[in-house]
Amino acid sequence: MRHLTARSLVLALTIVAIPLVGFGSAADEPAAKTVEIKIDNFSFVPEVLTISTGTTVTWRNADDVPHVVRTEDKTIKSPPLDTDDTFSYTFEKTGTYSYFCSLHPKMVGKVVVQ
Amino acid sequence: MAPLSANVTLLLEMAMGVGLLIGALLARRRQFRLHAWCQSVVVLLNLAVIVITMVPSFRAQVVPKLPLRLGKPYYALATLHAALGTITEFAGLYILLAAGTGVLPKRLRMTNYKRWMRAVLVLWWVVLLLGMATYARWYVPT
Repeated sequence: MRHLTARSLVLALTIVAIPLVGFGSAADEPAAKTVEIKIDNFSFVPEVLTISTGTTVTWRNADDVPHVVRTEDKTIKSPPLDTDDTFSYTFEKTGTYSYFCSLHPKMVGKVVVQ
Repeated sequence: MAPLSANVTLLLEMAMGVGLLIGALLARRRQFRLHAWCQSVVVLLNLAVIVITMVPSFRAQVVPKLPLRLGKPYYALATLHAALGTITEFAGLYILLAAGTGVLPKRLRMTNYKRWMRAVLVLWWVVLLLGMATYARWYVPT
């Protein structure tokens, strides 16, 4: 009986410990962040966005005309985005990324990665 | 809002539309040589504008979305403009070759110049108006 109780205790501890050990490393990792920029009324909202590295930015076109998200050096270049289309880009390096709509060059925005 | 190339194209096309009307007036005044020069310059300049600005733009922005998104007004307008514009430019080039040169064989030459030229002029202006509508739909906030 005593032997059985000790075994049960070990088993119980093991069961309790599995989630702590097994999933502990995943829980410690920061969750990948996604931030949305809305394209509305021929402008990017917000126009300036500050994020941390590893963040994914998703542009969503809420206008009823196509838009293209593009940086001058074409590091970021979306296909033409129709109404409700989205385009995502993950920023891995710090810096300031100025972008514009190549169909409507007066539409500009900035992503600051810290 | 529009890129510079689109603005320049629009202005050029409007100028060419007016140019063709002036050319038609020259024909009415029986100044056929000037008429021929005027219409030829417009048709050839338009060909250059089509090749340099319109075709690349259409291929990049519209073709990837066809035919699935033809229901959207901005793609429908651009496609109709492109289709009718292509027909009109070919018709213009045909008149240029048939009436202005002797390179076409006799059976391919036209017999009723006036009717063809007037039809193409009307079609040209329809295409021009479609082009202006396309510009407005794509670049002017509503």
